[in-house]
Amino acid sequence: MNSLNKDELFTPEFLQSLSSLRIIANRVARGGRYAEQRSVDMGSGTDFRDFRSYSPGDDFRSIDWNIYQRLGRVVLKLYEELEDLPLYLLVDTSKSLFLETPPRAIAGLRSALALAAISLNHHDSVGIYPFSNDLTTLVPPQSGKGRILFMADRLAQVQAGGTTDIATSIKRFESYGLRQGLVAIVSDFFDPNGVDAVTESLKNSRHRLLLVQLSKKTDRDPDVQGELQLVDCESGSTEDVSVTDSVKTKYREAYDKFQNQLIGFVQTRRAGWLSIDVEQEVVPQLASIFERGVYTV
Amino acid sequence: MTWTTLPVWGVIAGVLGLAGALFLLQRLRVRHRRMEVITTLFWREAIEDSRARVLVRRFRHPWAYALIVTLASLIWLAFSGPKAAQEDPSRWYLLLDRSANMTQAGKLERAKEQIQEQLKSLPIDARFVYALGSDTRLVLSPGEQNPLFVERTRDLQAELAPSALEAFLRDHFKNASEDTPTKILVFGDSGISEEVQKLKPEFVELHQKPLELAGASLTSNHGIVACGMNEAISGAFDRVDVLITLKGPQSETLPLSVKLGEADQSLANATRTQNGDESEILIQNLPTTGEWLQVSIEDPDGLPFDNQVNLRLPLREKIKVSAVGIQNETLLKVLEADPAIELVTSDPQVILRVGAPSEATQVPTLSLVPKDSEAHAFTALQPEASSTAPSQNISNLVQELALDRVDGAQLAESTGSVVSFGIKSSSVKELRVWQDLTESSAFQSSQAFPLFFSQGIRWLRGLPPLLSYSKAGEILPLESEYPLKSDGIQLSGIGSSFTPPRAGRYTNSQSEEIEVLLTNRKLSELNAPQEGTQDSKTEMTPTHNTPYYSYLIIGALLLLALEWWFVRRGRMP
Repeated sequence: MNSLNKDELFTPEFLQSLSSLRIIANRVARGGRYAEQRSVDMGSGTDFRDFRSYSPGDDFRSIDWNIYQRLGRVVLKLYEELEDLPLYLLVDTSKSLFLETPPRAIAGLRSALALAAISLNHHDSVGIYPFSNDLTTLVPPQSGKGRILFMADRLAQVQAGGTTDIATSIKRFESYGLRQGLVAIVSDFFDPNGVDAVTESLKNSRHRLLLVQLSKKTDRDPDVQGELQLVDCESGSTEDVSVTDSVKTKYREAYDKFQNQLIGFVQTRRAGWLSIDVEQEVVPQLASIFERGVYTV
Repeated sequence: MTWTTLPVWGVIAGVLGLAGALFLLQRLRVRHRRMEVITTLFWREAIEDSRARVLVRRFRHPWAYALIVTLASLIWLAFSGPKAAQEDPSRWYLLLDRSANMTQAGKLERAKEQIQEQLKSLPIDARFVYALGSDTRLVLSPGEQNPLFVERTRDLQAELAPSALEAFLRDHFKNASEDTPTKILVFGDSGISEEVQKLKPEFVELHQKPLELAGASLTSNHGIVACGMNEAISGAFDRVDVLITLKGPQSETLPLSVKLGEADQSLANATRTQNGDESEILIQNLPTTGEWLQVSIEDPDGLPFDNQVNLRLPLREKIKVSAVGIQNETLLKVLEADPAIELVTSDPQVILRVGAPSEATQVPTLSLVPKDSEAHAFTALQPEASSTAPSQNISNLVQELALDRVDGAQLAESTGSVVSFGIKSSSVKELRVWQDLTESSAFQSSQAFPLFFSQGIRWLRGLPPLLSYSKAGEILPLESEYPLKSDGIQLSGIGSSFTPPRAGRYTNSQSEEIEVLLTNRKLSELNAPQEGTQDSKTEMTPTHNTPYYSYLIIGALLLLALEWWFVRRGRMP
């Protein structure tokens, strides 16, 4: 399977169910377009945030004259300015996501569209960048709630790519020089170069990170036994394995090590982390994660 | 380097075969089920940690192959039994003496222990262990493991038998080959005479291991070294004389106890003759009642087997003879004078008559027949002898009937006829003699006359001959009824003689018991090993006995450990 059917991927119910989800960024980059995200800028919003001493050039309209009257000091009232949060969706389209039945790309693309829908609903700009062994631009950053169908249409046209190479893809993405925002990587993170290559490439990114891992139970407990020649669907490399309980135990240890390393990176980097079970519906899982309607990264 | 279990080509072929088989195994593939997965990332890591000893698809592990071939070759070489070419080529014969010398408590067990100890240092493929007693038994062959010796000799005891050591050595010396040097180790007390030692070839070494048994050595011994009986000198038919020979210090004063049946027999009339350290005691006129005569030394010593002998006296009764129509006075006097003959008128055992007997009679008869009725002057009629040649039979009969004492020429001259002897077959024994001849003065006056009739009547009665003595290890001096049986022994002699191997009581097919005595001068003289044949343990150790197979096995184990270490370190699939 190299591409997916749009109608099966994104139903109206699916899109409607995403409306209550919201992502709030702790900080967004300065100079962004006005939107609904909190900014480090003290702007003309309605929510009071702080006071500070007057400096030449400050807007007189922000001076708190009541304090000047009582204390004789000139201070400014600061209001929180809401700005948009650019969301860059890096969607894994490597072969591994299209191998199984149903392919875990369905869950991946739905997750990506859900995140896009949330952002568009809140006037954020969204860019979509599919990647496998390299990264391409599917949808440049753009905003507007009406763009969701366009994005769904574009996502449905995604073709299965080659080998997962997150490091190369991130390098390519960084070279675009886009405004700081939230980079959401939707992937299984099974990079043949290993999890170290993944974390190393993400370590120095200017953007905030949200890692969306597409997983299933058999990733940790594969339901296989006997003498197998395992073929990597991406690289084509083979491994002859006599699957025994002992080998399975070693496999689980290797998987746990991978998982711990990835989560450890997320914690160190203060990034966001979503684990999506591809065998379950995506929206309920996201709803569960955004239990109070808010998920902070 | 030589190989004990395989020829050289076998060793080489084995190594090449192993190398080829292992090569094929290396080339074998495991049938894997192909399965496409989203990643092999974790599998690679899992099998790196616990990589199974799977046979690889391609021949890509030459070092692993070299290691396993070396390991297998070492085991194969160990199996092939390598030994150094300069190894001692001798054959080792360990002889366990089971003769009466070893009946003393603990001696045989000590000898067994010494053999066990000696076996540890001898090459397994070049040593033989024989047990020499009443029979010669190979108890451990080359190649057999040492514990088998313990099992096979566990119930082996010393026997009342003379030493078979010298007989074994004579035979061995005779058949020894210079190509295979021999070392003989004797474990036991039986001595080896100088005569036998002189027969020893130069390439044969003979050693006798001292038993080193505390308290087991005897410095002196006395015993009965000979015992036998014979016809009574007194001439009494129903009596025998018994001669006993004692040997040892003060044998002339050794007290003897003699019992005939249950009754003590007085030695008051016995004559005692001293000859050096031997004392001969002649007991005369013992009754031939078929009872057991037991002679014991009342002063027992450390060797019990020569302190007592048993002898069965013969059972003899007078022959009942009926003289029918005999008018010959001389003949009647001869009959009356013969102590073996009792003249009766009824139930005779032998009939002496004038004229041929009636055909119906089954009683052996001595007939005085007319000259015209028989071609020969003396004619013996008897059932056909199957085991003896006719000529031999005639010769035996001539002697037995004392016809060799007859002066044929003189009788021929007096009777005017040729005096001859003939044999005929008949269902019943019979002797025929010309009546004229018995009445001729020439025959009557000869010494052959009484002898012929006395011996003739004895021959007709079929009296068993007297068994003077019977000794273990010596041929019985007269024929017996076969087979002879004893505990664990059944003897079926070839021809008319055989040798009972050990002392004891034997029974023949007629249920008659024969006591075979051990009486043996060598045994009673404590014929201890000669100084020259004794040796120490160090001199009985082979010069080279390098256990190469042990080193090979150790090498294989070390390689196995090395391989395991490589596998654990992930350096080998």
